[in-house]
This record gives sequence, C-alpha cells and structure tokens, in this order.
Amino acid sequence: MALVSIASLDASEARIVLPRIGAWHVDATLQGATGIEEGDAVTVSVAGSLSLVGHATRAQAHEDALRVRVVAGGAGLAGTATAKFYQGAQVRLVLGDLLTGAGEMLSSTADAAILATLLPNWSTFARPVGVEIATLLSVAPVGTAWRVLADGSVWVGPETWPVSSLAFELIERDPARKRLVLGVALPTLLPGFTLDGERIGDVEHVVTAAHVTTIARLA
Amino acid sequence: MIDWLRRALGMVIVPCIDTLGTYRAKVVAQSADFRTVDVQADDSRIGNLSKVPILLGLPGCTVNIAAGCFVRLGWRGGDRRQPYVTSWESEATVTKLVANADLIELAGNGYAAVLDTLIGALKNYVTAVNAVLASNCVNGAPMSAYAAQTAALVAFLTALSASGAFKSTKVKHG
Repeated sequence: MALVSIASLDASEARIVLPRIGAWHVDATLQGATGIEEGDAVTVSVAGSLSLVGHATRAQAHEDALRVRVVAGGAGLAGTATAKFYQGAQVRLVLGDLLTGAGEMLSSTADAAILATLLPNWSTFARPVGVEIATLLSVAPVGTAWRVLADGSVWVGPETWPVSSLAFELIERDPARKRLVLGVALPTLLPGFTLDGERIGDVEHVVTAAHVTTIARLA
Repeated sequence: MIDWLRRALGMVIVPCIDTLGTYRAKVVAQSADFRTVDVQADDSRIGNLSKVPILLGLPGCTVNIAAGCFVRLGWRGGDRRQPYVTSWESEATVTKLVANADLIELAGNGYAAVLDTLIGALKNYVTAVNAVLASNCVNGAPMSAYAAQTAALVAFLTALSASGAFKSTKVKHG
C-alpha cells in the first residue's frame, strides 16, 4: 500500500505543500487510476495517520497515469470575494462571510478573542478571498496566523508552537534560506510545530516510491 | 494595435487596490448632521460604503451637498477601519454651507454696494418722514398723537446705523 492515497487510489508520487499561512495543496500522480474529476471532494490519506480533506482542482490523464491536484477545503480561497461594507461588526462576521462566500468553513478551534475583535468600519474588496482574509487579520495582534487545517476548515489564532516528537535525520541545513531537508519515515510533520528546538513554518513533503523527504522552512 | 494590446493586457493585469490611494466615488446620501455620506465607488471591487466621515479640509465647516456628486474615497493610513471622503468634484451642488468663524470675508463688493445703497435710501426716507412729522405741529411743538411714531423712526435710524457696523465686523465684503 502506498504512503499517500487520494480517494482510496494509491499515489506513486506526491508532493504535499503545507504552508503555515494559507491553504495546503497536494500534487500527486496516480498510476493507472481513473475516477477523480475536477471539482470532486476528496480525502488525501497520508501514511494512514493524516487525512487531508479538500477538492480536486485538476485531474488530467497523462499516458497511463492520472495527475491530480487537491486544494484544501472547498478550494475556494483563490476565488474572488464580494465587495461589502461593515460597520460595528466583529471579525467573526466578516471572516464568516468571506469563508461562506468561498465555500469554506471556519474551524471550531479558531481563537475566540481574535474573532471577537470589533471593527468600527470595514470593507471587503472584490479580490482573492485569501488576500482579504490576510488583510482582515492585520487588525489582530502581531503573530496571528491562519491556515487551512487537515480537516479542511480554516483556523485563525496565535501560534502555540507545540513540540513535535517526529524522528528524523537531518540531510541538509541551509541557514541562508532558513531551510531544513529531513529524511523521515513518514511525511507527517505539520507547520506550526517546534522540531528539535526550531519553529517550523512551511512544510513540503516529497514522496516517491524510493524515499520520503521533508523540506521544512523555519519560521 | 496599441489599444488592442492594452485591452489584452488589461484582462490579464488587474490593477491592485491600494488603500493608501484614493478612489472616485459617487455620493448616494448624506447624514442629517452633514458629517457623513453613503458612497458608491466607481471601482466595483470596492463597492458601497455607508456613513463615511467627510474630511472637508476646512476647520469649523460643514457642507450639505446634493446626492449624485463625486468625491475621493480613501482610508486613513491605509487602514480599512478608517474610511473618509474628501475633495468634491467641481460639479457638486452645495445646498448649504455652514462656517463656524468669528469673521467671514466674502470676495467681491457687489453685495456690499447694493446693501449700502439700500441702507442709504432707507435713511433718507425715514429722515424725510420724520421731517414731515416734525413740521406737522401745533404752536411749534410736534403733535402729541405722533410722538410715538417719531420715537420709532428715530430708533429705526439708529438701527440702520448699527446695521452698517454689524456688516463690517461680522461679514466683510470686498
């Protein structure tokens, strides 16, 4: 059984990109597979321990393989927000409208204090939803992050940097680019964790039939 | 050729919205205290905003304008929590202008000349009427029945003189 499967179809190769801020996506090649179409809601299973819920935004047959891109949640954060004006609204209302309009959901674990932030005035512009969310959260305390969780919901809040117990082998350290290349048994490292005393920002897992490599950018 | 290229590029390159800049917006309504307006931005990506404070640029002044005119819409410090409108376009129709000032100086002297002429004519008329009353006397004294009218005319003359002083201290012409 492959380490990565999409909609129960094994992937021969996969690239899993998990940013600390924003939406994750998975590019995968499924040998001899069919049945996934653009717009389908799919679950990406990673090593049987991590399930990523998203939508297929690309599904193209190439020779004997199906190349698929899965984007987090409803894959709607790249869509255009509706221009709307608010007065005396909380961040929760504005964010909720942005997410609902994009077909996304707010995580129940989102920080309540940030969501309760009062906005005397606010305008959302007809720009990409992700850009509007980032702009909206500029009113939150410094260090506030937002990203799409594995379950496809959108989380906002301060980073807590929990410690990861992941076993790894350091293959390369690039201080200039603040980048670590790790050899791991399973591609399960997530952004927002502390690994060996260092805060992990964006994470990228490259899974092939031969090996698993995790590229971690330090926050 | 250039127009075609510009249109083609325009479909690909959409200008960003910079909240440190200002955008043309149409005034839809104004609040009763003249301090805020509802506007509709020309750029549909911005949409409509309500109760946007007016940054008139003149201290102590408020202005009531007719709906339909255009202003510049901006955000203080680029902060979307602080929208404002300013700089009315010249076609704007002013319904009322209120200025809280100790002295308001109006340019031109046409109004002043007309007012001076009017006051002068009134003074001449009242003086003439008073003279008639004074001449209509019995044994050299004014008729007692017109004493009140005479006093009223004298008071009116005093008021006319005062009106000239008022004009010169509160509203200066020319």
